[in-house]
Amino acid sequence: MSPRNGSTDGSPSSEMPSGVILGYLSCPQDAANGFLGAMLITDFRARPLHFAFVSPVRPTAMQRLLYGATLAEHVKVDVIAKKLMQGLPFRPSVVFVDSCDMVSARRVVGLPTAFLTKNEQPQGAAAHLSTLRYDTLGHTEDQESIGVVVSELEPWIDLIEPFSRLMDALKEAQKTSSKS
Amino acid sequence: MGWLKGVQKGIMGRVEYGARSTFDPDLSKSWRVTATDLQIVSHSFRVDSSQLPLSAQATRLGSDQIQLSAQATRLGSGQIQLSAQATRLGSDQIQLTVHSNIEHMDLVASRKECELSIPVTGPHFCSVSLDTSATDVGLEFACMVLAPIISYDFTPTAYRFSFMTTPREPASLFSPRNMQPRSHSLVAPVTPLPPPPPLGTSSLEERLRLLLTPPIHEILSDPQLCLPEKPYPYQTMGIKWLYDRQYALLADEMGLGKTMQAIIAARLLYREGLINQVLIVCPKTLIPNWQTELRMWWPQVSSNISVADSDRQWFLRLGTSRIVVKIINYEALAREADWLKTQKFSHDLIIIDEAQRIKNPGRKTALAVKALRGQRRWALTGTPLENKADDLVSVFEFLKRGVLRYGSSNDTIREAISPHLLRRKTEEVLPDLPEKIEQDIEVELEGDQREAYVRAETEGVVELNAKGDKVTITHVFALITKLRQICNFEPVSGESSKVALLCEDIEEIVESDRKALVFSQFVAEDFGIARISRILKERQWGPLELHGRIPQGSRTAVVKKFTTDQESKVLLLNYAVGGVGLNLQAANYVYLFDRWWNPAVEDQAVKRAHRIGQKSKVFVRRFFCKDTIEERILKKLMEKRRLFSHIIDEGRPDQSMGLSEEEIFSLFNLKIRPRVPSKPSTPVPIILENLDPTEFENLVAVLYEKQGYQVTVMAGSHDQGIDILAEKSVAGGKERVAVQCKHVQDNVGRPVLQQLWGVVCHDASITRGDLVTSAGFTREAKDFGHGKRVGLIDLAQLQQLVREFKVAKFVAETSGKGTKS
Repeated sequence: MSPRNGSTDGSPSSEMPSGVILGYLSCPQDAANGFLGAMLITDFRARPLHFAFVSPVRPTAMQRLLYGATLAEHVKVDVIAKKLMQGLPFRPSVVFVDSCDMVSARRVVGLPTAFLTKNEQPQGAAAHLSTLRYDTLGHTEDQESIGVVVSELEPWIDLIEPFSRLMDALKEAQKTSSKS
Repeated sequence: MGWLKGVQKGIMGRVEYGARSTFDPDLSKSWRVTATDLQIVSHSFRVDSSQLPLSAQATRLGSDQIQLSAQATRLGSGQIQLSAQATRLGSDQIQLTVHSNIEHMDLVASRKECELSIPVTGPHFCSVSLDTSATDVGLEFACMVLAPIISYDFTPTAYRFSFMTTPREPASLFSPRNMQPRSHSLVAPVTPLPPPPPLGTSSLEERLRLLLTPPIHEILSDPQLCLPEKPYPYQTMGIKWLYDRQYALLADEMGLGKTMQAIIAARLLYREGLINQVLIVCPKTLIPNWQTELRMWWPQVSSNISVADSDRQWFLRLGTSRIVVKIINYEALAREADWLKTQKFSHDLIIIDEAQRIKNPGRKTALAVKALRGQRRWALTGTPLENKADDLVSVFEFLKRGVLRYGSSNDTIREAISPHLLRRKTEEVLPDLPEKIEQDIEVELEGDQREAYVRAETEGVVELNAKGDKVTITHVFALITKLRQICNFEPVSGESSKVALLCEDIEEIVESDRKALVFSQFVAEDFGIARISRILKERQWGPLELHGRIPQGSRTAVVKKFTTDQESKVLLLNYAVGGVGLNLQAANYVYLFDRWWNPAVEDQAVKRAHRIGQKSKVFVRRFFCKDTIEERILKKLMEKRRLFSHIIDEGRPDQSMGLSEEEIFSLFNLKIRPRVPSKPSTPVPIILENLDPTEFENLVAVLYEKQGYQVTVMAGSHDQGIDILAEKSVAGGKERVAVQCKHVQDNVGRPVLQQLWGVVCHDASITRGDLVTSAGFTREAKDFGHGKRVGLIDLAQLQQLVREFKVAKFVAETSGKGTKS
């Protein structure tokens, strides 16, 4: 668990930081569709700026054999995340992912990346300071930048909520794609 | 490499290739293997010239690319090098190229290179014809799959959508003074979500845009929006519903906040850059109400509102960015019906209020409204138009022509309008509402009524001043009464802005099958109940009356008729008779046509409807006329907000209205008489835990007054978290204290203090900030406050101050709990 940086007293800044662009990356997987992937870019108010998704990736039996245990990471990171990062009209300040394994997308994303989740365990006297946990999985160089963004924006917007919009949009996109 | 000898004419050189690893190539999928995975099998054979043509065969194994190469080395004298190369070009062809270093060699194409296109659907043959006098020709074929690979790569396709928005809000909104953390402005999520707009043939991009827009409760929770009050969940839903729609009929029952929902939805659209200008069409009597509501819910647009004047055509065409909201009344718009038909300008958003005004399709009002062009069109009405099919057709001819047709069955109409209609009744949203909703309704005097009022006040003040020292409170009250009567009705013409507004509401109440109580202090024909009654009777609304002039024996019958008769919708009462003891729960709309000012009396009046047995929420609407004595009195009362306003001190007239003599005189800026010292008052016993937040604030306000401060209690939503502003002159200037009250059980923490400190820092006129709580402070808060211009007054200090200045006497409850004095 990475310690929070930024403001230590929990007080919000008097101004909402503008200019921050957020990236939300998710690569869900299910038995029917294989691997899916989508990316949502938002402004500092979590308003959508850009959305991209990929066609489902359904590995063949040979591919499963060849890639073995590395299949999921290869598909999610080296294929889907890399594809989604290409051609972005906006460069996010940070990228949030919704699963631990997606933090390894850092190597293709090229930006501070963190697994963002709700803080289920209150931290004593500091419990009121943050409701979020972020994990950079060893990328210590990213902790500060992620921490600053989280601490500055957390008082103003729900940083986790865009993931639910991303999933809804992905489902709608998949529905349309499968019909066509 | 060996030679095959003894080859006859038509020797076939067979070339095979295969992969080193074992796999099952699925021919239905594209795949590649690296060349290094292949065993290249080559054959070389020697032929003599009589044994031509020489051919080689390759069998496709499903590769994307195949390279065949053939090489011939002449054995013997000289050398012949012949090579053939085949490259798969596409899905159905292979190109075979044959190179030769043999001069004078006639190849198939009489060229040094031979290119053959070979279909790949079956076995491939490439042939090279050599015509040479050479006796020994070696030809070697080698087949090799090119470097491109049979690979197991994944190649998904990406689809991208950009949503370029230019969010817009006046710069003043970004002032830190306006900002509160999100926790202060959280709006609850709406469940269930409002039904999505009919998307039908909408593109994927449009559907994605709707899905990716933040949830409405998140948008409304944006602290930069600075909503003065949090919307109720059904209002949040209504705002989202309007926001998503180009064509919408919001038909919530009266009093549920249609205006507010429309304003906030319009504001969000404007903020997103989706609209630039709004045109509001409403009854003339509702223009002040719209202006008030806009000031409340969209304060930043206050200086960008324009109300139509005489040049209506210019006004309607006005499209500058300086004017964001235009308001015009139906009557004025109707005069331009013919002209509008010839015009092509369009508005981003048109809102028509009291949409039933255009239910008659033949009238100029309806024609004018329908002639307006707008990208988005919303209609607001409290009347259940759904019960009147033809009325709906006319309204939808404005909203979206073609949706409805005259003569359609009710079921057809209901089905057609269903995606565009939202109506909630009070009972449906009951759990979300407080028991009583009170509103102060601003009424604007116009024309003769305004002139009469101004004249009377001017002349009245002159007369009072002329009396000099002989002026008494009675004289002042007489003038106040006269002015209040004029606020009700113009003495000669009977013109009344209040009645016009009342009739707008009564019409909807009658249509909605509800009932209303209308209270007035005056009974007389000229200014009060009698005149109101006559006007309502002319409208066929059959009002009943209950006041001192109704015989005692008849009053019960009146009440019974009002309660039981479905046709009796309105009951007119005066405060004296109608204010006490009556059960009038049949009504859930209560109008205070003119004010009594004593909160206890008004409360009693409202309680006729708001009492046990009431099944609906009660809406209380209190009229006051703008820029009149009524408004000045109202403001004073709101500033003061006495803790025990129902207690009338000795020596005050009964009609004190809760104001001191000095304050009453100050209503007209008259000189006051020497004051008679009042008897010292006994501290009132208070159980601190039983105070609500407002009463706690009043207690603190009184405390500062006792300390010599001039106190202003912030009305309505708290200004930047400040509840009280206390000022007094001190040596060297003026001391100005911003006070925040926290009537809580838990210790107040640092964030609250930081907010107060932020206010102190940003306003140079504020000397210090005080935080008064009925609990205590955390260590962090105390540490933060150390050395800063903030005062922390906890329970112990509060008790001491209250005792010292004899404000009150804290007592415990009889159970033994509570605060000890």
